[in-house]
Amino acid sequence: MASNPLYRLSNLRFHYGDTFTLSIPELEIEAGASIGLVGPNGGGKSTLLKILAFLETPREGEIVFQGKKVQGADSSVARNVTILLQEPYLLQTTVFENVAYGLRVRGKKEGLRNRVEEVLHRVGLPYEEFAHRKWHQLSGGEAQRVALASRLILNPQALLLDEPTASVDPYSTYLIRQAIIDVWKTFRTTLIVASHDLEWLNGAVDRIYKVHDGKIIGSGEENLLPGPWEPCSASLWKKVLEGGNVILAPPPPHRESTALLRGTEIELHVAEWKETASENILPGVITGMYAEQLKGYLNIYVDIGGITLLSVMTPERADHLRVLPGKKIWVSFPATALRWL
Amino acid sequence: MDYLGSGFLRALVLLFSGDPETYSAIITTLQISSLSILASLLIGIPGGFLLGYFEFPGKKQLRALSDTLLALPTVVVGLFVYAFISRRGPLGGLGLLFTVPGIALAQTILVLPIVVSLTATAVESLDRRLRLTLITLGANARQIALRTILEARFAVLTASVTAYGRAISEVGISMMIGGNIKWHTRTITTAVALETGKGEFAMGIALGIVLLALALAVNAVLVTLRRKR
Amino acid sequence: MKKNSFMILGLSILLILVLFSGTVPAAGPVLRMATTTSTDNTGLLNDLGPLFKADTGIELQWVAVGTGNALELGKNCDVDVLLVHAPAAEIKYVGDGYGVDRREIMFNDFVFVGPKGDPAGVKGKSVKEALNIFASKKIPFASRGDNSGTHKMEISLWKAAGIPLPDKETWYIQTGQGMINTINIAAERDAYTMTDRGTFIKYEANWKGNPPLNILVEGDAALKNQYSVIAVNPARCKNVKYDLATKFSRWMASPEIQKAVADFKLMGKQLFFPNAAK
Repeated sequence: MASNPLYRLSNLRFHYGDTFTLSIPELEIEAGASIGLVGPNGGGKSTLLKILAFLETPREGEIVFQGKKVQGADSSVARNVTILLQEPYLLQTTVFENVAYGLRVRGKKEGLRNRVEEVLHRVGLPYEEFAHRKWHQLSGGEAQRVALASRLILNPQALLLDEPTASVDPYSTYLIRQAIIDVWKTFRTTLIVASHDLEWLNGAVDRIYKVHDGKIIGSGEENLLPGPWEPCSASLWKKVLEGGNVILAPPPPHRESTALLRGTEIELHVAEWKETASENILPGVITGMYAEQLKGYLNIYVDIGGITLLSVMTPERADHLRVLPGKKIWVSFPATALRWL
Repeated sequence: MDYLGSGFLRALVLLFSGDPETYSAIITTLQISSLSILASLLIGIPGGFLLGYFEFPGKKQLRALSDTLLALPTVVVGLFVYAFISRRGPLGGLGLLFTVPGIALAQTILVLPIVVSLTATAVESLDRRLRLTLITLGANARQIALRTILEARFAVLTASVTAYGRAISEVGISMMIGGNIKWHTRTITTAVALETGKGEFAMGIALGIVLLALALAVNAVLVTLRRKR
Repeated sequence: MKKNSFMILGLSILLILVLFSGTVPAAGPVLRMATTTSTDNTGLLNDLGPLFKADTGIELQWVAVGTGNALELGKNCDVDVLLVHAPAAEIKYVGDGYGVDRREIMFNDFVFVGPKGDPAGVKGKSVKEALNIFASKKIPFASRGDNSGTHKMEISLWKAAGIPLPDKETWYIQTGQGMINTINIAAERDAYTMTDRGTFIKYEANWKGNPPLNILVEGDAALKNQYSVIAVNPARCKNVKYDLATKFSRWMASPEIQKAVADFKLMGKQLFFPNAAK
């Protein structure tokens, strides 16, 4: 637990209309942390971000920011935190004015030109070429970078980004990631990024939480296996995948329940190998490998027929198995490793 | 049919020879409409902004009222205002009847709903993300309100030009309140009505063409402003 | 962008200043008059106005509306003096205390006009005879129908002829409009109508002397159209300029102006016959 958390959320609940609920019993985010939120659309990532940006108020629960309790959408607190919305949105004026707006409303008028130029440089937009362009003379990626620049220039304590790479070209995607890592390293800005692009996120942040059905689950190296499930035998249920693979699981609460499978509980083998009847042994193809630089292990992605499983292993083991993308491999995990959500 | 041809030629002659009666009517028209537009914008833009921006009890009813008043017939406004500013009326002491300010007052009442309703719509139609963006960039309530009106500026401009068009082309109010007094309160529209009433159709068309030219000029200004986007 | 906005603002202010630079408050005294559209349309006032200014230094401003409207303006104290031509209504007006010092100034006449071939056969007849023919043969007839002086005159003629007003008859066309428009409608419908001579002279001129309607009944004493000047009662209206109105009334009756009225020509023809009391 951090000694000096930036955020502490307790017993948070949020309703959207009648149906959806965000429900977080406890969440602490330290100052200077770099966090990703991943999960399906509609799962609660955006809502959580907006609450952390003080743009929305939770129905129940408490938020403590920098040691002080925050009631409702408090604009004085909101000034310390800034969020970049999904879909680039700019004010109807020049790039320069867009970037300078946050400083202007704070009454900080000195050295504007230099500061604007510096932050535009950080997002890869040369001043001479872009500063005087109007908001409608930019591509989607350029606009999103301008929007990011207008937040970076404020040096916020926390920078929140909601799907920053959606509707944005690959080059901008890359630049945005560089910019936020840079800012995190240089200023210890707390980063909280929501994205459905797990791969991009992996290279951008330190720790990833899964947000699913309004709840925060674990730290990202879990696989989510949604229903439907069918009964198989007395103690087992199954899910049939494309191509014929069958996943065995303990009986679920509902047919449509989702199961959680930790990446560390999946083993890879070069050949099929029979064990007990409740062991899942499935053929698949390796689709990707990723090195978690900060933690020193590998994430291996295996396609077992419509679902990609994430398996975690040491580089040595991977080397031993001669793991390569495109290679056929066998995955194994006991049925009991599946935990129901 | 030859009204159109001779009318067009007549219009050119009137304009380029500097015909004093025609120019008097043009100046009077411009005076009145400038006053009424200025007044209706000064009152209407803040009013429309408040109506579109805030939530308050009675908002729906107020909006419905403004939208209904969009279709006010000019003669009705003329009659109502006459009842007020006639010597027999409550505001008779102001001596506004048969004067340019009097007509401008009545025209302001006519076009105010246009400015209010269209501005309110402009503000309401703004992207919801504008507000979120302004908050997250740290703007306070006053700064948000100012920026919002700025972001709606093109729609507000369109509303203004629409209002101006309605003002310069109306005749019911100018007749009733102005009296069509030569050199003083004769506008282009009342002059057209007079000439047509006398059977001078060609003259009527000539003046009508002058009015059209005026409207085109105003529109051209709008187009250049839009192009400066 | 800020520079452009300031430029536009500056230009606008400049424009407004220019627009209003010409409006200087009236230097001398102003007399406000209500008169009828037909009077205004003759153009007589365009001649008399400058003469009045030259002789007295008073600027005459007039509003040309229907007779009913003009009388109403006087009642509401919105004008100082009236120049109208509806004697019966005027006498009642003065009797009711709205106007004072009614002074007859000049007259012109009304005529009946109809299609060239005179299908109803009213040419040369008296007013009474003509109206009877219209009613019995159900000849199309266009009326002003707008409570104007002309309209009131027409109604009084029907009454004098002992014919009930053909208000709901299909052949009786009530246009609710001015004289020229009513004549045009009559021409369209091959109908007869009653008009003041002045308007007809202008109508004729528009057709280069060969209009579809001709004068068929004229000269009957009943067709006399009397113009009078009435001052708005200062006892009722504290704000009216009674002294200026009186000056105007006397001036209109003065020998020089009475001669000017007679000399006034419309399309080369005399229109008004002065008859102010000496």
